[in-house]
Amino acid sequence: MRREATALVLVIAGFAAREAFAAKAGDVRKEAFRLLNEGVAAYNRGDYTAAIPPLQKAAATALNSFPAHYFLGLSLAGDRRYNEAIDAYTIALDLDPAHLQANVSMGDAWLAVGNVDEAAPCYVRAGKLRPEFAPALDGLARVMEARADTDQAIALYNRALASDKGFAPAYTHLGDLYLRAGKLDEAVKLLVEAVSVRPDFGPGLNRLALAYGRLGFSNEAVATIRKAIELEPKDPAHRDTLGEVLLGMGQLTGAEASFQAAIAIDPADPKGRAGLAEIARRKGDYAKALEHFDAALADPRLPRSRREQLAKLRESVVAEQAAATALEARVASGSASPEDRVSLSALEAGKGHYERAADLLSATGPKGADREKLAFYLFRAGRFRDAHGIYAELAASATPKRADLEVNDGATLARLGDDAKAKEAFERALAIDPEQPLGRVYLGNSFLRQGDTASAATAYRAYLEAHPSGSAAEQVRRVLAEIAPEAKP
Amino acid sequence: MKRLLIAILALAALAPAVAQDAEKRRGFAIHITAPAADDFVLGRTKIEAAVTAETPADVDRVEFFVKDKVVFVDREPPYECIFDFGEQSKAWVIRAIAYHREGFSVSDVIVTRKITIESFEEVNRVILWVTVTDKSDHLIENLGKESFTVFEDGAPQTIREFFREERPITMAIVLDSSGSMREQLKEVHDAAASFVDTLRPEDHALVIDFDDKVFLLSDLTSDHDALKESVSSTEALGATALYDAIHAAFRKLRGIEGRKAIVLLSDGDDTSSQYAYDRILEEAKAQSVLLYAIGLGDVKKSVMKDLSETTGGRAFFVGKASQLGDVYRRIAEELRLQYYLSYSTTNTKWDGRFIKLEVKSKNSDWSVRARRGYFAIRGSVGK
Repeated sequence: MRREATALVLVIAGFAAREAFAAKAGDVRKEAFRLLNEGVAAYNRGDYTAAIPPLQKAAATALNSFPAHYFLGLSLAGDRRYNEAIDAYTIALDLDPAHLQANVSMGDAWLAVGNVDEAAPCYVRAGKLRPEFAPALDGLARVMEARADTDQAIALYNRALASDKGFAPAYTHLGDLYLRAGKLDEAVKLLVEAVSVRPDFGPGLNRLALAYGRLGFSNEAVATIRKAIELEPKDPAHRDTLGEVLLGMGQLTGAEASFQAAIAIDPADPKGRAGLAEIARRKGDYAKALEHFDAALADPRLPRSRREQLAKLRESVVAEQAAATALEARVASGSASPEDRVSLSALEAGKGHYERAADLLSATGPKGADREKLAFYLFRAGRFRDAHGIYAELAASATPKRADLEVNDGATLARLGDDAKAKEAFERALAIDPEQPLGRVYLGNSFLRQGDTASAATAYRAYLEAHPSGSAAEQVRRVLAEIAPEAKP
Repeated sequence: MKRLLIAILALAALAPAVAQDAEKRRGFAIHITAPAADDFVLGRTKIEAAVTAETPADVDRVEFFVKDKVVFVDREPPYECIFDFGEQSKAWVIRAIAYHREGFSVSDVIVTRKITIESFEEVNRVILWVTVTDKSDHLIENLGKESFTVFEDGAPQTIREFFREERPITMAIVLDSSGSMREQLKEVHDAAASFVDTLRPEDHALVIDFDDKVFLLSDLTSDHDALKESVSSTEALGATALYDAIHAAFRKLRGIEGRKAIVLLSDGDDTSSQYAYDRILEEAKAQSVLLYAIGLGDVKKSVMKDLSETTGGRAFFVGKASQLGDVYRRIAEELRLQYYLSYSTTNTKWDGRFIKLEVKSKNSDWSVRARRGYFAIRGSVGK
């Protein structure tokens, strides 16, 4: 009898999750058609959350409808419910195995959940159906990226672009690859191309904004991502990028508002939650930071790799909280050792609290590397005169001579408005190390501020010649185009 | 056949954009002949490639790749290798590249398919539902396990559990509503509705209606009135997507534990399915669902017979709709008089092959029906 009871419980449990219904054939057919139209319309508007319920109902009744299952998969993927999307695509592809885009979408969903081995066959199938199909090559390139085979990935992206010069995702993905590799110049070129061939391509605008942000082109970054937000207001990724750009600019309030806007769209949005956690951490509100991580981690849609990443970040916040609490207590009670103060100053600097970091470090009477660190904190805190005092002294006493100290001192002098002395410091730096990249750029800046455009242009050109793909190359090219438009940079 | 087995190397994944000059290739070509594209592979499986060239000596070597890694290099025909695809069903990318002595190459790629097999238990317990009839097609009651022997690919197995199955059943009632059913629709409705009344209160059923489109009219319920309303509402129109409907029924029953059955009524052959017959037959073999098929009028008997007998079910053929009532009654009777039989398989090789099952009665006058086998995929048998 025990056997029978178990079976009954299982059967009943199986039904609990189902939304049972029964209806007449004619009504079911009409309703399925209406629901499919409603869902597809919502999907086309980019409103994936609204598209899912009608498409789920349509797919649950129109059992051999390819569009019902395919659009359901697309909408679920749009809503980051990748595992459910894979189930829907599986049925869609059973019904129409030769559907090119469905094969690619299935690959994309597998990639999103971090299953490269399942993703690759989907793209290969699409490539078999239509050789040199750009979305398939682009998908395979992302597979190669995930397998850390960057060369092969780049070759495949280029094949995708050779096959379809108007295929914006390949420009975007290749640009993103360069962006992550720190090759900002190449990244910007490709991303600009992506939004040129498809001006309404949100992911391209998103990555371009991020690249501009990394280059320090704040205005361009904000304008670009605002355009993406305008085009795709329901995509939290664009709000996340705006938050990231603003965070990079030190605009915590604006960044926080943008991340909040992202989680208003998707409460578990991992980037939004991570951004808010970072802001809370910088404010020293560790409990809030952990709340944000927990909200993101509670989301069953979170892919494994992203989950691991967030869990690691959460761990580091927990560790930082424990360390900060102990250090603050010792500082407050007067029992802190100099090492405690050095550690706490590093934590404060990590939150962007440079003023306090400098004070804590200063109180330890720092020597050597710690003194250099103090100069940096003072610089970041805007206390340029104090920073200059230390840099000048360190540069004068360094044996052997160090170009980087001279550059830092020059940059500090420039912030004090003493461009003549700053120029001398940069020249000393370049005498020590003629390849010093920032020395050249800053020297050019000093000339420019003093009105010596020709010397500035010479310094900039020298920089570009030595570092054509350097981190400041794009900025320098733009300045050169302004000051010496007739000459090719 | 001289073979050079080399260490597995991570190599360029995608074939070189086989953008070689056709003239230069001069008919040099490679084609993977086994496994077939979209087949499923498990365990140690032979990969074969056929190379065409002006002379066999033109072929320098053939490299075989699985998942972008070289697994074998063959320098002489036949170009083949054995690769162990493991016990888990998944999609694989298999590539073969043939290199011409003059330095150019051609390639072929196939992608295999993942097979979906439901499983509930870790132990390798095989469960069968068995129907026993005598020479006059009467169902036999009150039997014990001593009356039966079970063979897997000819090897005897030890029966662990055997009892008359009285637990609830989950059922899909599948009705053809293609245009050709128009004249007989009233009788079909009445017969299907009376079949609903044979369900016990604890049984559950769903209703699928199909022409060229397949619709779920009623999800699983034990509400007889709702089920009867659904089966009585079908309207005859359109072509016949028979295989799509059967696949949908298998899909709807997937994940539900216990005895499951599909009771299908159709008056014609498939004319508009997106699924092919082979896929449906594979599904019938992979899932533990009894299929009872009723062919009304002039239908291709072999399809319904093969499919249903593969699952341990049965096909019935009637000339007129007025005979449907009797057939539905017979199916209901069979479902009420079946035996549950389980055993722990002696199979230890999980290589995806189809293991043939045979349940024999010790009484030679009796006929025993049960599913004809299962795929040797780990975790797939305890359903």
